[in-house]
Amino acid sequence: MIELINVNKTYNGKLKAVDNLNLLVQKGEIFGFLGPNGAGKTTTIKMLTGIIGCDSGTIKINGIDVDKNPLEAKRQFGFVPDDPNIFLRLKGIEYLNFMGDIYNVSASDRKTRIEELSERFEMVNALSDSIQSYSHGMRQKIVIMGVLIHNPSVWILDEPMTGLDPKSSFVLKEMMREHASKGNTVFFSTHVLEVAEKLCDRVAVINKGKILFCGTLEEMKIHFKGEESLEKMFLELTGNEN
Amino acid sequence: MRTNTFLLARVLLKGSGDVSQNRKKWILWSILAVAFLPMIVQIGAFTSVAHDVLKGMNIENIIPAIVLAITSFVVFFFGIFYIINTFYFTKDIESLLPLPLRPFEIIGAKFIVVTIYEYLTEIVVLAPVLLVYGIKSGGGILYYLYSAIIFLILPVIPLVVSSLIIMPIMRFTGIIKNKDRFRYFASILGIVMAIGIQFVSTRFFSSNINQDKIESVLEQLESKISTVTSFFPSAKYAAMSLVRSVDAVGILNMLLFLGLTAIIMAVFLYLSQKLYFKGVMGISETGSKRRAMSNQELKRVTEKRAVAFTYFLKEIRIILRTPPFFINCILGNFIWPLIILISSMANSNGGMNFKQLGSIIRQNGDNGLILAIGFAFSAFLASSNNVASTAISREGQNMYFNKYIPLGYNKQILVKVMSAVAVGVFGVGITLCFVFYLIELNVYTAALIFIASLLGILFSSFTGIVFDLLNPKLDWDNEQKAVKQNFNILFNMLSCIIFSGAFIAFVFIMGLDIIQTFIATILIFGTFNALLYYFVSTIGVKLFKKIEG
Repeated sequence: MIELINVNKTYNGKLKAVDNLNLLVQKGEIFGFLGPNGAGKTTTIKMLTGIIGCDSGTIKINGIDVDKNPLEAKRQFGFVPDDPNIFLRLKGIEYLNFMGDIYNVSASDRKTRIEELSERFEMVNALSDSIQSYSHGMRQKIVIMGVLIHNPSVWILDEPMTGLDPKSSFVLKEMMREHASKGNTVFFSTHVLEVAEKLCDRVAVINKGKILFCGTLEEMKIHFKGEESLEKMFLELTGNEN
Repeated sequence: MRTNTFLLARVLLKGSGDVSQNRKKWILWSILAVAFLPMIVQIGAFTSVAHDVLKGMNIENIIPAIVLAITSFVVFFFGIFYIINTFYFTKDIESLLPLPLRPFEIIGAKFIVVTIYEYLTEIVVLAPVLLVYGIKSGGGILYYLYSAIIFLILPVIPLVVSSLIIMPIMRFTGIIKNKDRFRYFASILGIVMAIGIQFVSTRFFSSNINQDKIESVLEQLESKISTVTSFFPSAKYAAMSLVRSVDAVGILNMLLFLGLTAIIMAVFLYLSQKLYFKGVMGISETGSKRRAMSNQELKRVTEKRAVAFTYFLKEIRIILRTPPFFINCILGNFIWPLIILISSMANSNGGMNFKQLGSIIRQNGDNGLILAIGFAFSAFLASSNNVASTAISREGQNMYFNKYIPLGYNKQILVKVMSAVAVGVFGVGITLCFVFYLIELNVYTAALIFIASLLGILFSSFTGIVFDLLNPKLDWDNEQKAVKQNFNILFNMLSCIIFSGAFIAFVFIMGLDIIQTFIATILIFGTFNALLYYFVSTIGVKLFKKIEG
């Protein structure tokens, strides 16, 4: 479960990146976070994961305050950043094992999970190579695997489908669905409206730091009276600026 | 077309420096100026003396030829490294290749960038000599005009030569396709060459030169100069134009110099079109095997480790495997032992050697200064390995990772300090072993120095991370920038010099013996370290939290 209550963030005292944000993402749901470039998606995700602090307001993950009890809050979620170019000098397996240690995963659990995940993402042959030798999609996959190794109940993913091949993208979507149906929370940002349309239980649309809409797709359709496509609604909401 | 080249050169130059903050840039320039000024003055003064001596022998006109030959060679030598880095191993090339630019426009722009780097070399090596020679020989306006032209144009041919060595290697051989491996190789080669030159020059200057020998030395020198100038023929014309700047021979030689440079540049641009793009495409960072691990292997590599240790291992692995980090943080540790070894060999037939030093120390066995100096040396050595003072900067754009993992900032900072201490102990350890062996120090003194040096290493690691926490340099696109163009390294070295210098002065003034000095080290730097520990785990953590990755 993710809660954001009256969250504000201003950069350099001027630019209001997030304006009095309120969101509640329930257990068991896949939540899509939509918005044009520069709308405040990444800022929100950075605050959610403790990368940056918020100016005011409260953020809770599974009921644990990110600001007051950061380490416990950070153990609740797994985070897939939008840029997978990280730890390029480590081997895939070294990175996975590093993440296993950081999240205190037992040796037997991590071995099972590494085997299972590398099978599923077709990374078995690449694990002993350095991440630098990976393609963009493979780097994306190893980061996702590193996150899933501690089996967090809350998944936070920033543009997770970018650069994935259709098969891996399918696998990831499947895994997101499985995860949510076990009563866990999946929160992800995306530009790709079709993904959101097919996958999400609920979506929020953010622009200029404000939530313009939050609810199910059905509610959104009612809101806009008719059988419009998500794309059209999205463009209407965000003022067709991009 | 030409504007494309200059436009691109400007962009590339901007990308290589931190131009966003002009104030910072000025600080950097002033520090560089202060650092090189003594050398420039010295070279100028030496030229003045040399001019007088050579004038007595009526051969002072040899000076321009010598300095232009030397400059050409230095430019050529640095050029090899600049060319490899600027032409092949920068990230920008991947974004330049798809742009609708003709090859020679890209090469031209990169060539201009490298030439501008070389002007910095020339300011130190060439400018003072030309200026002093001009004053001494009473050169007119034409002399200074020619000098300015030569200053601007001279690097071209040596750089073409270094490019023509590098480009075919990159085009036709696969050995340098692996960027990382090559950089290790090049840096080690560079160090070996630098030390080799040092060795030869120590030998050369330490052998007693008397009046009789000078002429034969000069003769030798002259033949060497002519070898170099025939390798860089333009230098000969340039030198001639300076010597005869008053008459038509000067103009003729100047025109020959410019003409030759232009022809060679044109040929180079033509050739590089054929060589450059194919060589630069497909440079991969590393090789890969793509092989599945056996069950046993997997079990072995997925063993559970303590969090602090695994984080420590990550730090060390990244330092060892990233060539710029390795070169700046690890390789430096080997330079001191090598320099000590070579100077002990070079001085074996004269002058003060280590054995004599050792006996002086033994005669003053209970003097605290030896310990204070050993301590200061260790602190300085540890600060110069940059591990702590770039610990945050090295994270770069990936700093955010450290913010979302469930590992306390306090712990992360301390592990970073510990990795600096580990590298410091390694570097100081091997250096001290060499020194102790050469000066035949007794085990008791050696042990005291080593224990005291641990506090110095810890001190410099703490101060290093404090500087980096205060002002981390995270915005880089090239790993080299994190560990080279980083002020925190300089600040940390300065602070170590100040603190340990003050400590030496303190020991000297108080006239402490070795045990008293040892106790003073423990008390003073123990307290400092405790305070620094407190600082990083309170304010340091707050600073870490503020860094927005």
